[in-house]
Amino acid sequence: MNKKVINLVAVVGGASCISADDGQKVHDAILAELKQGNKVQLSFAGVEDLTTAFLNVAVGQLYGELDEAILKEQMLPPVDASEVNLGRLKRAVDWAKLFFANPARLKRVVQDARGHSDEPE
Amino acid sequence: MRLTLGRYVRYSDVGLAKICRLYSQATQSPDSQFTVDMSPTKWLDAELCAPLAAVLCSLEAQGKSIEVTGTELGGLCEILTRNGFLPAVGHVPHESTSQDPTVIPYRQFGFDASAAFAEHVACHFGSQRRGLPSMSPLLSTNFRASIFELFENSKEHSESMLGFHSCGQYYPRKSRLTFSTADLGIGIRRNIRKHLGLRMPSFEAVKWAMQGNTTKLHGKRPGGLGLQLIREFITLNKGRLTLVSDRGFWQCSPAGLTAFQMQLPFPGTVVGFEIDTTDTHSYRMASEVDPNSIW
Repeated sequence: MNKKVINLVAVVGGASCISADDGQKVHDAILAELKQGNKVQLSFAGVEDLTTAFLNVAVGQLYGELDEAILKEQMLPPVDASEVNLGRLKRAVDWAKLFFANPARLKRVVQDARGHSDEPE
Repeated sequence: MRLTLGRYVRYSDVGLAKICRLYSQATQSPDSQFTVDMSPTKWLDAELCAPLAAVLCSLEAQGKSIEVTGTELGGLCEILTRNGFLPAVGHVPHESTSQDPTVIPYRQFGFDASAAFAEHVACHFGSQRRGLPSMSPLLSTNFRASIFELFENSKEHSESMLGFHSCGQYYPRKSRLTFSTADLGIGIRRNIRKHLGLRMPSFEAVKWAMQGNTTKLHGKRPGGLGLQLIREFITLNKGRLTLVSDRGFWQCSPAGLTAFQMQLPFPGTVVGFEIDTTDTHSYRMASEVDPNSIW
């Protein structure tokens, strides 16, 4: 099992990791390595701007595609991330785990929200 | 048909309602030619240029002809010229005016223009930018991230073909920096109806979205975190966050939380926030994040 460092700036082509489209490029790069059995380490070196829209796609999506156990084993601790960006990554990953692991909770939110509106469709 | 906005138009529920009223008057009229007469208007908060321009854009897309008049003289003309609003709506000022470094220009972006939007934000909110206050690095980072979250959120959910409108202003005497965005999409209420089958009034839909809920229950990609993070940031900053979608009005500020049904709809979604630029809050998470605990 090899270790592969994926630098976000290199994949995205710039310091702004903000769009879902760019997040998809990172996701695809990560998934390709994971499927080959490699360990993946994300490098945030040079990242200036980071959004959850990007992270939801880049890494959040993985929790719907692979078992959490596999990700725990093959995703190494990220490097070169500022405290702010590490915090955003953590929030996005925790959000994704909740999103994919607990559909019943989300369905209850929908059911609880049922209401009435007289506004036009 | 002549349309007006009134004497003082602030970025508030009242000011936004005036823009909704203008839109409603134009869409309900059989006329196809309209004049937006700004001569009665003595003040217009610059951030309102985003939703106002969006509304004018929407009317033009419906085949209506819009002319903005009444700004030939006075301070309002200068303000709306300096921030690019009047040139953008086809009104050419009689005299050129000097650059104002406190202005974040009005711009319209297509959703395929992420790079151009990123460049716009870097240009006007970068550390080298003259005229804006020196903010703490964490404040600046969170402010920029919030702007990008709004763009991507609108791109993901609005389904609008008429792009994204943005505008901002720095008020040095109040140490407040504002930024406002508007899209002409289906709005939160219709988004929830379409994706979750739920019917709810507009203001309930906005409240639902601001509680961190998401319409993405069945998709491959999680969603719903961006607005929540913006809300947390603005709350820590003791700033103000305003969201209008369809007839739903929502605002959180140090004075509290307000949400209600407006009388008339906005044809899309408006999000605006105002921050205290002197804030030096750490914006750190409650406990330090251990990189070994991420996955």
